[in-house]
Amino acid sequence: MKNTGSIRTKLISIIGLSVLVPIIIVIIISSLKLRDDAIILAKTNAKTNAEIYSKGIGQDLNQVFKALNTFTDILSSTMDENGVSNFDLEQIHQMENKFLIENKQVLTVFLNFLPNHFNKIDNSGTNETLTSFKYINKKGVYSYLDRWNYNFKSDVVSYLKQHNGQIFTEPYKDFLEGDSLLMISYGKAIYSNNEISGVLGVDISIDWIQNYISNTELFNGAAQIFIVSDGGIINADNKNKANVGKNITDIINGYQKDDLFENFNEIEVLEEGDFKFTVPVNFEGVDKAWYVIIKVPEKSVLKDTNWLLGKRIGLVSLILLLALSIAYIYTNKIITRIFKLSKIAEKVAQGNLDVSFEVVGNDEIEDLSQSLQTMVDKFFEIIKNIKKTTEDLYKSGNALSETAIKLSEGASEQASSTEEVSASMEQLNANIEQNAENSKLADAMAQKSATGIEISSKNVIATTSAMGDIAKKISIIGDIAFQTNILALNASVEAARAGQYGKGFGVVAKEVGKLADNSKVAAADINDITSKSFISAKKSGELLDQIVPDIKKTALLVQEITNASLEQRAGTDQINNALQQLNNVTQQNAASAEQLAMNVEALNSYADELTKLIGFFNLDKENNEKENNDFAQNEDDIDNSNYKYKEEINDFSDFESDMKEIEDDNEYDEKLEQKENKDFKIDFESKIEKKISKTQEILPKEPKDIKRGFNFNLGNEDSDDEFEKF
Amino acid sequence: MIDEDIDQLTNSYLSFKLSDEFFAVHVSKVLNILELVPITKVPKSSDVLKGVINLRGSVLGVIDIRMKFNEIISENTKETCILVLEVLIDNEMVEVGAIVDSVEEVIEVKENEIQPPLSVGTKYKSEFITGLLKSKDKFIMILDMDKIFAFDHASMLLDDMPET
Amino acid sequence: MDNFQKKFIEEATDLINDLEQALLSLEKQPKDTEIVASVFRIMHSLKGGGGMFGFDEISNFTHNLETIYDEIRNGNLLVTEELLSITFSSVDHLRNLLDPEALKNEQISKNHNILLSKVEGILKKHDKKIIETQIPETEKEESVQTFYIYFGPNESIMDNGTNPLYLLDELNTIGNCNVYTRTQKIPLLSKFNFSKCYTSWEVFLVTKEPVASIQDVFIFVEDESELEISNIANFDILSESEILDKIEDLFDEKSHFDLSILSPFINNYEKEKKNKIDTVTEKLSTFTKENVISSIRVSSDKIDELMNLVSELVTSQASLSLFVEENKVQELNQLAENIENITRQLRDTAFNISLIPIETMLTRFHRLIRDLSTEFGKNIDFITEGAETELDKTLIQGLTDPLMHIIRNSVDHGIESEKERVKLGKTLKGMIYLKAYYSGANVVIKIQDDGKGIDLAKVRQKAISKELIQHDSKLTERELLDIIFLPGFSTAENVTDVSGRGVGMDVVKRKIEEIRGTVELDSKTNVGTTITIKLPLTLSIIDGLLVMIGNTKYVMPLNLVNKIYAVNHQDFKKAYNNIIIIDGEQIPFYYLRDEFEIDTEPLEVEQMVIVKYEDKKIGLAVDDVIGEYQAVLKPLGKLYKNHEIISGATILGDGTIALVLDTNKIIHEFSFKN
Repeated sequence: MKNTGSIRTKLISIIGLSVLVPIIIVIIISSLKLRDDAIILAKTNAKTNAEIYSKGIGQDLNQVFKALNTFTDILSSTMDENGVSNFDLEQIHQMENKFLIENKQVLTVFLNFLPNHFNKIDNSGTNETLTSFKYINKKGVYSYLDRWNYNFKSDVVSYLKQHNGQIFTEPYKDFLEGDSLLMISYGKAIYSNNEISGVLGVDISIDWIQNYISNTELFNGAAQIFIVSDGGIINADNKNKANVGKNITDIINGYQKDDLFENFNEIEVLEEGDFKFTVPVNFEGVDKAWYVIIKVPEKSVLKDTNWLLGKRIGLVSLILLLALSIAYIYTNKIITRIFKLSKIAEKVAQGNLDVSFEVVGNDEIEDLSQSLQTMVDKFFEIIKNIKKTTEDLYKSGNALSETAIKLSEGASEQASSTEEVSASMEQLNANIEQNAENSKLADAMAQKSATGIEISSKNVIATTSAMGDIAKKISIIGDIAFQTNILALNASVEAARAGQYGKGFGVVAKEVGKLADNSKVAAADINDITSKSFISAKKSGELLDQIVPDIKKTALLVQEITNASLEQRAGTDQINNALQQLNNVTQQNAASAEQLAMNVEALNSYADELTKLIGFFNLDKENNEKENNDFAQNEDDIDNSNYKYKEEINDFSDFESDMKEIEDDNEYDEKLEQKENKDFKIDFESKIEKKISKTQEILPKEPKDIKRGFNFNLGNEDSDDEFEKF
Repeated sequence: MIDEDIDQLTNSYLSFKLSDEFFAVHVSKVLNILELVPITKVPKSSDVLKGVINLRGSVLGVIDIRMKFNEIISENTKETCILVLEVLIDNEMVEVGAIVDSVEEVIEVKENEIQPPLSVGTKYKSEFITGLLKSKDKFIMILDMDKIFAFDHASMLLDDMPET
Repeated sequence: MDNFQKKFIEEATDLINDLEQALLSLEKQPKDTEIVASVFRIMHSLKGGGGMFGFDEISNFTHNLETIYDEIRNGNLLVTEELLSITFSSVDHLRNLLDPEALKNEQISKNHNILLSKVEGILKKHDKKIIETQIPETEKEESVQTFYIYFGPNESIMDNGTNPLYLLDELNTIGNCNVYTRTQKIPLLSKFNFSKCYTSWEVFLVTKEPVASIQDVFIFVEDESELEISNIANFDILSESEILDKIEDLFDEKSHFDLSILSPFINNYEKEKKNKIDTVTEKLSTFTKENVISSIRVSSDKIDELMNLVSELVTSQASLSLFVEENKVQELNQLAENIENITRQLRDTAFNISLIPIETMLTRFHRLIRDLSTEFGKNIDFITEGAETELDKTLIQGLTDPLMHIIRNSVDHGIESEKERVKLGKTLKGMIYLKAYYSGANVVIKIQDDGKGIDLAKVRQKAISKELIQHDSKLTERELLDIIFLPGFSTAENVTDVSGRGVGMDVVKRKIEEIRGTVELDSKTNVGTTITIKLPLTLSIIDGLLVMIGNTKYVMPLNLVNKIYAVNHQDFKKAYNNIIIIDGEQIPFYYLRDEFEIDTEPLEVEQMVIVKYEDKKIGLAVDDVIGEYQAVLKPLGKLYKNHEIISGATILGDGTIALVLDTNKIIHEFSFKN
């Protein structure tokens, strides 16, 4: 009883562990892998995107820069050493217009010469430092503006000189024709005779860059994309437009501007596990570069992964829960049935053998319950029989004593009649002897005549075969005659062929032929006669052959009679012997009968003792039924508790205490059973053994001649059977 | 004297039996009479050609003359014999054996005892029969063996239209 | 005709044969006095014998001939073509005269008179001729010499306009030439310079001219060429086939003739030739004396009888062996074995007696070729080898006619006329070569000519026109050649006296097959034709395989048996299309039991005898194989004359008859049937 709980725990934990451990291992491994994969993928993704942006932006701007460079080169090439161009103003204007139309990004073109340069005309508005500009916008309107003063702290000419004849501004916001636009300016110096003669430049709108990246959703928009100028000014920010124009160092904490010039094309992991990626945007012919920075927060990368991982763990927990429930239900079922069995076994221990182990199922427990049932049934049967036998033994003990007295009286009577039978048997024996002697004689005579006839039959056969030989020989004579005839004919032919000379010979040949003919005829005659005698001999042979079996039969009969007589005599001899033995036995019987009576007394007293012992076993049906009902009630209780358990799986302690109660009960019963069983077993076995040995001492003394009709029934046949069963 | 010799010779015939009828052949044609011995059949030859036998160390072809006459072939009996004949085939004297049902005797006949063959009423082609003679109540047909053997082996010697 | 006359005829026949042979020798060496002497002696004997036994015509006829040859012997007369022709005709006529009644025949009598007058004519003429012919002949003959010339011109010989071929042509005008061209110096085409001469020549020149005139030919090129002239014989080696053969043998693509080998050979040859003639003459001269001592003349009938008796003995001995085997009598066993040994020896000896060398019929062919050559104006050498090969008498008899046919064909169709031969670059003289040799239990006779060969296209055309084959049937060369053996086939366009009547080769084949031989024909255009005849050594005994089919025993020729296999009856029945696979080989077979229509129960296991048929293997299924057996072949007789599949019978030890199967015919017949 105590151990029931531990089996349940063991089973559940084994099942639980065997399912849980591999699953947890799998989850850990797969989540680690998932995370790594996701980050690698994200990095690759960010890198690819950054490169795409870099290429896209670079391409667009390069186009404009290249065009301007070309334009500038053209202008430079037309300038003579005095800074005078071959073009006239009209041509220049046309080129400017064309340039504006062909490059959509370009907002304005500004072309200014130093005073006294170009055709020394229309240099109005310019000064020696070129700080005052003349613009032309897309509408073809020229305007003059002094705006560069605040952009270049020095004059344009010295700026150009310092910057290799090139203007490439940081992005700046400006109002142009009423709109606030983000733009950059790009210009190039026009040289004549290696001296700066003027400058050609453009203002390019770069608002489109913001549009370009803000449309992109990288990592569900979690990634931050910056386009940063050489000076660290943000050109575009896909997340926050407001950041445009600000310095990048202000936006990304701890991010130094100098960092821009390092770690290109490398993943740089920032604090908090985020990472960034920087790719330069290179412009042709421009010393400065821009940068595409993609910053990806790790959280967003792992967002998908985490969700997937959560989903997996949830699913696994669900499966685990299900598996444990099923395991519990099945274990419980098995335990319950084992419990049932042990309850019934307890009853058996108390001596109640009329119980039923009706535990259903299709497993080994079923087998166990069946085997137990068979065992108890067998016990029941045996004890029942012992009980009955004891009763019978008691009854037959009484009958036995009466019979023993009758027996001694009968024995003396029997002795006298045996004497009489013996005398008449002597007489019978003498008669049979005579009989046998006579039939022996008849047999010998029959044998003799059979042999005789057989010999004659053989002779006849020999005769016929001899006649056959004769016939054959005669046919040889016939053959010889035939051959002789042919010889004679051959001789005749030869003779005839020889003509006259052969004539005499021919006659002889003819005679020989005739002789041959005669012998042929004679042979045929002999053949005739032979065949006739052959037939008659054959017939007599057949007749004899028919007689022989008859005689043989007679001889056989006589022989059978003789044999029978001999057997008869042997039989009477045996009877005589038997009678003699009978006589002896009868005498012995009388003596034994008295002994018997004494033994019967002893037997009765043993029977009494046995009845008492067997009384321990309860074989009463009614009693048993009552007890079974009690047990059923108990079972219901257990079922109920099981049901509860199912309902409230968490309420484990309740159930365990229940189980403990049941276990204690079982324990007690078991101990009791064991003790009683042991005591009874020793007592019972020793007693029974003694009884048996005593009974066996008596039984072999029974005379073997019971079969011959002496009624010597001791009434112990039933018990005999029982012993055999044992 | 010599003439008489020739007469004697020419007038000796060996008579034999085929089925129930008697035939004779001139003794000059007969070399020997043999008992029937086992005959080795030569494969792929016609049925008339019975096969070959060992005649004292040489090979002798045997035909069934009974078949030539399209007789019902009687069972071979003890009487059945082989006549060793000397016939002219393709201008060459050849020894052949002929099976007959039985050999009767050598008879001497005078020239005038031989009657010409009947041209009508016999079932045999008259060209094979050189004459008829009567001896002891029997009619004996004298056969021309050369002609018989010159004939194709497969064909029969019966007259196609005996009743004309 | 009395006995003495018979005796004379036999003797005279031999004498006439000898005479013919001597004349043939004489034809080759007309000045050999020994041969002339032997011719004279034979004629003298004939004359004497004729007179003695009452053959007066022979005596008279020979008398005049004898006179002529006496004159020749005495050097008063020369042997001429004409004289030889007349003598040969006379020899033929003498044969006729052996029949005492011959002159009653009108043709013979006419011939007799013509010959007589011709002989007399020669006798009358001979006085005048003596002086005219004798002297130049001797001179001419003696001066003939054979030179060996090696001419190796300088490579640049053609630069100064010399054509070396003209030099060779010039040599040819001096005498008879055999030229061997050396071409081994000719380079590969890529290195070949057309203006250079790479060839050298070796020439065997037979001429009456002295060495100086040969040197004259090369006088202009002597300095720039290798030139070697040496005398190698004082007679015409080019007319000696043996020497020509030797030269052919010595001919080596790569190097010059080795004169150190050739010269001794020629010298030996010359000596031997002299000896040979000497022996022939000696043989002829001692003929009458020696012959009596070394051999006796026995009539062929007696030999036939002996053969028959030996055959009988072999048969009887077989039955004795059988009896001993069945009865197991120890003493008799020993005796039987002895008798068996003796019988075998006796048999071999007897067969040897009946063997005669084929030489006996060769003389006739020499004559034939000589006569035919004259008739057709062809120049033909007849060379024989293995004339001593012996064959059964009956085989020789059976062989003469077919050989005659073959030789006639060769002369008529094979060997071209001299004109054609020159055109084809062949030697002037045609050659017919007959070779006989033993090959196992067979004798092979090969007749070879170096004529134009058989024109297969013509054969084909002819076969189509004679409807022997379909015009579109495709035949191999061999099959086409086999058509020639079909009856009614002859390719000759003009029917001549000799051939072309369409009874040529088919008759040859049939006759050879009658004596259990085979014939094969090979031909190469412009190279020649070879006919190979294969014959068994003897006709009357064959080594056979004794087999059982039904109740009859059969003998198969052992030399045709390839192998014997036991095969289950069921396998035969199952075999599809009468082909059975044995040892992984597909073998067509004939189930003789069915073919022979035997209806007794077949055995469970039967035997398959694989026999050679042409170059195939064919199986013949029999009930049982009993073992080897030496069969004494006996004819089946006239009754079975058309029965080709059985070639004969043999009598076994127990007196029963076993039939000898001609497996070739069987297979041929069955395959034709099927």
